Amino acid sequence: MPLPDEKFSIISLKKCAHFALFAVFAIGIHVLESLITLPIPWVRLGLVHIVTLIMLPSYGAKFILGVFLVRVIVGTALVGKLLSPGFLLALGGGTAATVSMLIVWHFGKTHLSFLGVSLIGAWIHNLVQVFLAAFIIQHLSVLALLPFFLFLALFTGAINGILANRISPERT
Amino acid sequence: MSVSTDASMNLSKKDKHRIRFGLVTRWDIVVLCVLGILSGIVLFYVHPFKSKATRVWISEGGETIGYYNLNENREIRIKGPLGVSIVRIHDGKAEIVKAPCPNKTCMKMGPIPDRGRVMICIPNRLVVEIKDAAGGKTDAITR
Repeated sequence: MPLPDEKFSIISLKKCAHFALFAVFAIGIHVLESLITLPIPWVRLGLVHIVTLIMLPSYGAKFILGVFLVRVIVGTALVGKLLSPGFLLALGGGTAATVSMLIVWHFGKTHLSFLGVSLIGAWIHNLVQVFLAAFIIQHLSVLALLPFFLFLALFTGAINGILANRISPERT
Repeated sequence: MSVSTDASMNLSKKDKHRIRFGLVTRWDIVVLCVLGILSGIVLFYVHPFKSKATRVWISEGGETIGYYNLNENREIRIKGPLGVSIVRIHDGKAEIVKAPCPNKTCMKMGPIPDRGRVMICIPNRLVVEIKDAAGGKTDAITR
């Protein structure tokens, strides 16, 4: 197989390997998390966002969004929920959370630790998801769940942020 | 690990120090407080402490049966695909007192007094929703 430009191929191979590793890592967490049953339905810890957080210092927006998209599609396919309403919720909320975390990291990385970034990501995630659910069900009464999910995001976001602070690769 | 060497080259000294120790900064706490306050504001708007509910909206299979006054005690019989459901309005509350479905989930909800609360009987395609005097489709606006 003819190799393209040597420099190009080395960079892209390395990036490719990193991409695959992070994607597999995220998919693994996604699938494992779906096995955890929480006492309340529709509530997830969102542990996959730790992968996004850890990628933030080292990789660009395109890379992180790519890992996220691969994770959502393959992850939900493995759980067996591809193209279900739950998949749409995960895709919409996850995209909003990832984009908001990228923006917050870009502007606030000198002031915030992963905790703050994670809190904002989780909050936006739940906010967008509840609105998306109201749109899918076509009934505004779903919005009555909004305060519950927003307060919940503070807890799950804090858990993820503290975990990401502890397991960040820069910490060793 | 190659990931960490890549990363540390891209970061300023301050960044490296902060991330290495995973320190929670004061701005993290500010973010937590601001989001908590915003959630509180949303809670206030979505669940107003004063209920101004005056009307009950009943629909069957997506079609509006009618609006009923909450302060007027009465019983409404609705014919659905499974049979007749009975909605009773009394003392400013609405309640499904008879349902032909096997689960009776809607009956177990009891009387619903609050604005924006709904009872839905899926087998009989019945929706009972409490609305405020102004009407319209919006029961909860969060901005």
